[in-house]
Amino acid sequence: MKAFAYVNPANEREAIAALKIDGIAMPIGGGQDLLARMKDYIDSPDRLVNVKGLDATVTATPDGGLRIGSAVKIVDLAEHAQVAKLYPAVVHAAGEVGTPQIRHQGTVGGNVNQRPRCWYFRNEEFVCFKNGGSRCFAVGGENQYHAIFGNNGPSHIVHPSSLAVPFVAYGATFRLVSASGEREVAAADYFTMPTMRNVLKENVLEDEEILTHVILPAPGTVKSGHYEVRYKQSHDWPLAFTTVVLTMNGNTIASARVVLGAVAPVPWRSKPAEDALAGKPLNEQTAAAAGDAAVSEARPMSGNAYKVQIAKTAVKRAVMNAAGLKTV
Amino acid sequence: MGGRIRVKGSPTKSLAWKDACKLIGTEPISVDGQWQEGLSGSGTSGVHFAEATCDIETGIVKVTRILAIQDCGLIVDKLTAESQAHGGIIAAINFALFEDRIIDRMTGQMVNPNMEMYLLAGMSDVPKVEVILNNMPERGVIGIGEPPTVSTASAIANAVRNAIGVTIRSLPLHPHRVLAAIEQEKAGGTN
Repeated sequence: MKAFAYVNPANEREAIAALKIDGIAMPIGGGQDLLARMKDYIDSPDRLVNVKGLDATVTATPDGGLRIGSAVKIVDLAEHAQVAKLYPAVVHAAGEVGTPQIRHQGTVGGNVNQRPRCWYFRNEEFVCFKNGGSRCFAVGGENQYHAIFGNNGPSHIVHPSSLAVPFVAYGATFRLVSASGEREVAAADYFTMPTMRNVLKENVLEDEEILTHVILPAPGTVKSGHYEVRYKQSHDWPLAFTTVVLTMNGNTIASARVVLGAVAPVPWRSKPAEDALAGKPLNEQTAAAAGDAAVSEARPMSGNAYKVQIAKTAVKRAVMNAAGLKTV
Repeated sequence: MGGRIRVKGSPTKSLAWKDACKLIGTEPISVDGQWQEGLSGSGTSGVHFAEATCDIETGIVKVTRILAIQDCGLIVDKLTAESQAHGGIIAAINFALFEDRIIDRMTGQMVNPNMEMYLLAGMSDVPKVEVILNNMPERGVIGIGEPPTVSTASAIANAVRNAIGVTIRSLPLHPHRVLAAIEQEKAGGTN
């Protein structure tokens, strides 16, 4: 790891000022991803700016939603009574992140902004698109954990954040702050599909900008469900997972949001699955139809077709979870 | 005796344990034992039973119980012998379900050379393990180093076969293998 300077700002303004240097400065939350990247020489910042001291509270918004500070620890989100009541899928996702140690160190902002776990990106021997190179090694390589949606390239990573998926499903907005002021971006627009121009990033956050808050709107009359499929039962990345948020009209689904994780370079919203749910009664048959629809447009790579079946199951079971039905 | 070391046969010649230890100095005490003819045997056996669940919609296998009847002749130390069997069984669960050295086919580099991507069972992946050792002193001391790892993985694969009706012939039992085997069976099967 390259030696670096450490700045402990007192507030947002100081944090942003500290990010502006002649060299590379990066914000550090729990460090669960960044420190590992630094040890692996994937990133070698000159300065780290601690953002754990920024807002770490969950507060109610006037419209009946919640405003979550980026510095909130994942464990505190997982155990938050009000979040559990309004946004159960967020609590479910938070509770399945990593290990107890990671959840006690990791923050909401860090989870959303962590870099891909792709084993080529994480290995300094492979200079891939995301490391400034000119190819994606997953193409023609070992791609069993890579994308099955959004595979137009140039990069075929899956987005690693567990919290991003329910945040998109619940229609969250992210508050971003920089020297030129603050802006709010819908979670769905925050994450970016790779293009040759932006392949070095996974979102719209600028270099001298900080994600400070996740703002969740009042959930309304919804039922939500969440389901994650893991190879190992603990300390493993999900193979596929899904959050569904169903706006209900009696026992009929008026409209739905279906977002899949670990299957595409961004949290993947499935229009076909949403269409398959709208206007249908909430039952197991509808859940299965939503699963089938969700993967109707999947385009797996050479070694990950099995993930299509797993993604289908994750969608079906998330809907069953929303319906209060037993999944296995 | 009574915290003192005495010379055999002359009870007046003795030293406190602490004083005796002071005389040792920094040199280690090394004693070579002699092989006692007839005490050590060879040839070992064991039977392992596995109980597993297989989620046929995701291909995820979970081992829920292992019962190991393991032979090691004379049990010299029951606790460590059982512990050795537990360790061997957990290692076998790892190569049955998780361990896989994945080599990039283009460059020959290992892509999972770390504890994040090279999977090993965590606490939640380790099932209830019961070990029954048969004490047979008449057979002498027989090794129990590797034998407990030998049959567990096969037992797990056979349990999966009993659960889903398909034989999976390579390890680890990754969901891609399990799902492919189920698909193949649906399409007409291989055996």
